[in-house]
Amino acid sequence: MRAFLSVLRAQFTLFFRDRLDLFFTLVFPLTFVFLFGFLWGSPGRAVRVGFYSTAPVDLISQVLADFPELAVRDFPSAQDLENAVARRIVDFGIVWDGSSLVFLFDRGRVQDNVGFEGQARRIARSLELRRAGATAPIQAEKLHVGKLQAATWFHYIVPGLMAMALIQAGVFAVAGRMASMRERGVLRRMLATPLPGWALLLGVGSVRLSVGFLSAGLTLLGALTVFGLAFSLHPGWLFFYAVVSSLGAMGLGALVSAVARKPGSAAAAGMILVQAMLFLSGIYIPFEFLPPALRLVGRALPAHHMAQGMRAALGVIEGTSASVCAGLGFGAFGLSALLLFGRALVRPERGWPGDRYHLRRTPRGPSRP
Amino acid sequence: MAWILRVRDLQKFYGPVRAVDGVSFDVSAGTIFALLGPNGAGKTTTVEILEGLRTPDAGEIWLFGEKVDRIGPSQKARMGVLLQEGAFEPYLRVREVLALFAAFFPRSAEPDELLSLVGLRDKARALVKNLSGGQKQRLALATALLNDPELLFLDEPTAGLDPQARRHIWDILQNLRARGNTVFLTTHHMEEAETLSDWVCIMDHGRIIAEGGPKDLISRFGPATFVEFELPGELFSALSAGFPERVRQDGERAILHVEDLGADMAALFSWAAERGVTLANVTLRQPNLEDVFLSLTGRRLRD
Amino acid sequence: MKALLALAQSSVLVSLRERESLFWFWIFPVLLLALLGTVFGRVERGEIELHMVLANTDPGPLGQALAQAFQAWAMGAGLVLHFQILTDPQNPEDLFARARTAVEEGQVHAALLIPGDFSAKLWANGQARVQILYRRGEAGASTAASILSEFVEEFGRSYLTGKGTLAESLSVEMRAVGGEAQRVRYVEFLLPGVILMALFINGLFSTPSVIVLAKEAGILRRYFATPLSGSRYLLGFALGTFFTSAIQVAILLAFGWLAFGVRLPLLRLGSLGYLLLSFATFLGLGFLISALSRTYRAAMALANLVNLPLQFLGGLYFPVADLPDALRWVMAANPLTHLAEGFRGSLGLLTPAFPLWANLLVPLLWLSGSVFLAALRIRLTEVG
Repeated sequence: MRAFLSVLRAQFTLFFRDRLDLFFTLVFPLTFVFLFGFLWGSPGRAVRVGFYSTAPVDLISQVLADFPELAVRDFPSAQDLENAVARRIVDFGIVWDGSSLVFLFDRGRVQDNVGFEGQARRIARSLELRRAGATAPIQAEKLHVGKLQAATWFHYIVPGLMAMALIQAGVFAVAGRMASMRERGVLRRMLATPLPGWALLLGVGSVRLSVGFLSAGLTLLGALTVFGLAFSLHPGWLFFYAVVSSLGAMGLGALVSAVARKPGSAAAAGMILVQAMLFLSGIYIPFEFLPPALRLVGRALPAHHMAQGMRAALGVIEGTSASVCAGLGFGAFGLSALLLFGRALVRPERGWPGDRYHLRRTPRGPSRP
Repeated sequence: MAWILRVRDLQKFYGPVRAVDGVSFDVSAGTIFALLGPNGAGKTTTVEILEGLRTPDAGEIWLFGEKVDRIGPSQKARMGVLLQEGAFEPYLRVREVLALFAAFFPRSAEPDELLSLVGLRDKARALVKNLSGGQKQRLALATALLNDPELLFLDEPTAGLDPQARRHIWDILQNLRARGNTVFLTTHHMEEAETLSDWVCIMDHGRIIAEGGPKDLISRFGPATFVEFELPGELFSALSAGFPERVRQDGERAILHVEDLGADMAALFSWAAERGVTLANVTLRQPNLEDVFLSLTGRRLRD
Repeated sequence: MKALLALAQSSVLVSLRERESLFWFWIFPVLLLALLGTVFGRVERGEIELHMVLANTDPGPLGQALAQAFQAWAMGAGLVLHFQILTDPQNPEDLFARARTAVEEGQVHAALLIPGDFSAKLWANGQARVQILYRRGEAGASTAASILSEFVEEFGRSYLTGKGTLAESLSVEMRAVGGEAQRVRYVEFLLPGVILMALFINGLFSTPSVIVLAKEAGILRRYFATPLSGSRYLLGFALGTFFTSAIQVAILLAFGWLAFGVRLPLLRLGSLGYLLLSFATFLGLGFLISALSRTYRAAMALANLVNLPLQFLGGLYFPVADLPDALRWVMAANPLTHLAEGFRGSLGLLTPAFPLWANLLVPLLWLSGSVFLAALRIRLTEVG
């Protein structure tokens, strides 16, 4: 017990002293939060529309007034308007000559134009109705029935980022930290003492888990304070998903360490794995937008389910039994992988493949790390 | 013979540490010159100053007949350097490394020739990361010989090598001398300095404490022989009393400095008989540079 | 000169042989291009798979007409829509509840609820209501809701046209301005971005990594024991990086063409000029990081610190036209922004938001600044 506590304390101290480590695990996720927050989290800003007309404007002005989300700006000439659109000073342009409407879009804004074109069609329809003195016969009332009242895409991203922070911390706890300790011979020296191997594993693991929790917590805090997001937290579920994500991730890290031959490539392989999961789990790119084959892959990834679980824990969506089962499964996998590979990890003498490289280091000068 | 390198009062400090503390020597062309001393004596610092890797704090250097303030590209073009610490790109092949280094000199020999010379011909296509320590050392030597240097600097050229590889390198160096190249090497290997060199400077704590041809240095002991034998530690002081100022202890062995072999041996055996001591593992040997160093500093070359 | 070529050749060989650089340098950009291009290409073409449900409780014909019209429209619209039409005028509450649950639980993205008095109200007052249920904030659900909403408006319009209210139809034209291309697909927009990203990563990470590691491992010491000078080494290294970057760009272009049919008009003075300027700017940054870092870890930390903000706030992947004002100055000072704008502009994909002089000046300032600082502080050996 004492041994375990001293390992714990040493690892914590090491972590806080190692500024680079600190930076990556804590500041990095925060950077993402801010980045995404600014890109997608701010309350919808007004769409800037440029306007030029060669005909009386009362009709169209009334129409445009019906769309409060538009910020309309007049331009003295068609050419000026075109330039403004091309330079993205306005989001799109309207040219009205009394009987026809021309909408101008910037070629380069391939993604945004989808939304702008929809906006344009609504304006056109509204103009048509007003001209005929009619009103739209069918009113479509959009009702949000999700769990969280004021949900935005950012509300969906944040739990995903938290899940990623936990998974990243877990994978690198084993593939990164343990592997580098083994490589640097620190592991061997520690195991020469009466310290039991499991205590070491547990000690390092606990610290990295806490780091993961901290990282995820800071992400949430950032979202709450800077962007004023509101979630309805379920602490029990939050804790559950945090634990199984971390456990499962550490299992993944153990798997990666077992497969990677060189100590350095364990960390690199871990990074690749984490990045791939990021892209395919519906955390950055909405699931529906992935091609069917990739969606299939994404659904199989633990990151996807952990992100969904986190969303449920933060009250963004309804929790499903699928997520809970996935969580339990992932956690169980992690535990068994750790037990299996953990034994090999903390016994470097027993022909651990990575040590072939380690032992071959020659006495002559520093070799390439 | 003309000198090719002359150093006067070379100094290099690192804070309070006087790594090189007023070193002076001449190196004659076409000879093998050895800087002999224990680890930390300042040998590497000295040679790296001469190679242009470090700047001296004081002192003068004359190289190839001219005084130089800075070892620049024109000097380096005529030198060959084997560093003690250094590496090659792990993902290059042996021949590629040589070709790369060859491009750094105005003129150079064919890589394949050199590979044969250092015995790496069959490893020409091997990646550096797959070479053993000894093979990397030989590759480094090959790069040092690329430009057929007039003056070759070797810093601990055979450290970490097995005896066979060491002999091989000694052969190469002796061939170079025969061809008229000059070799400047640093070593803490007594045998290397003794067997190989024409001139030895013994260095300790940043200073030259003795210099001369190896035989001359040794002969300062006079026509001496050393008798070594096993002796239990507690008898050592008795032995010292019996043979004042001629006895040295080396672990479980005692070393007696004798000048008149016959008389001293008789005295030794009677001393042993008087005390009922059996002298085991008795050997006779000639003095070597280790003994020279020991007598000068009271310490060994290798600790 | 032969030293430069020899160093360049070694640089290229090592880059091709090292396993880690093999992935990050050569494979990763292609993967990124493939993934983003595929994903957003689908979005562009409307190939998003959405699930919807229409719950019709209107006994009259108009509700039916709405449902059928939707069916016809959806089939023809090229979207991949899975929809279900539920009809049960007897139990409207029940039906609506089922639809609502389906949306809440995520089984469908959105639901359109047609109330029982739909036809009646429409005949009587010319006004009727429907409800669209969705989960706001979720991309798929929002898209589905927008689609349903738009469809309802279209239906309303054709209803009025049918009644004769909308006699005269309005002529509406959608026109693209800026750039010269006929139509810009997202992949065409993306490919120059990925090319610049690859060059950027190369300069920011690869360069300092190789140089600092070479110094740490003692590789550089051996070089500088020969007549090779520090500046020659860096030039040789730059030359090698130039070759590997050129190959990298070629691979990306080839992949873009083979996989997506994208052909960029790269053989223009402007385009090649921006490519070269980008390469030089990023290389300069790499040298600066090398000069400021004593260890490999410090170099990587510095590179990472600078990396993501510059990339995301440089419009490489998405046009960041709507950043809050606080971040706009970051964008304007970011060399990536100008290089991306200039490069894409020269390829005819858009009209640069910044004037030409800015697009050239800002990167040049960064380039000269980095090279100057690097030259001051770089220590390739411990000459001490």
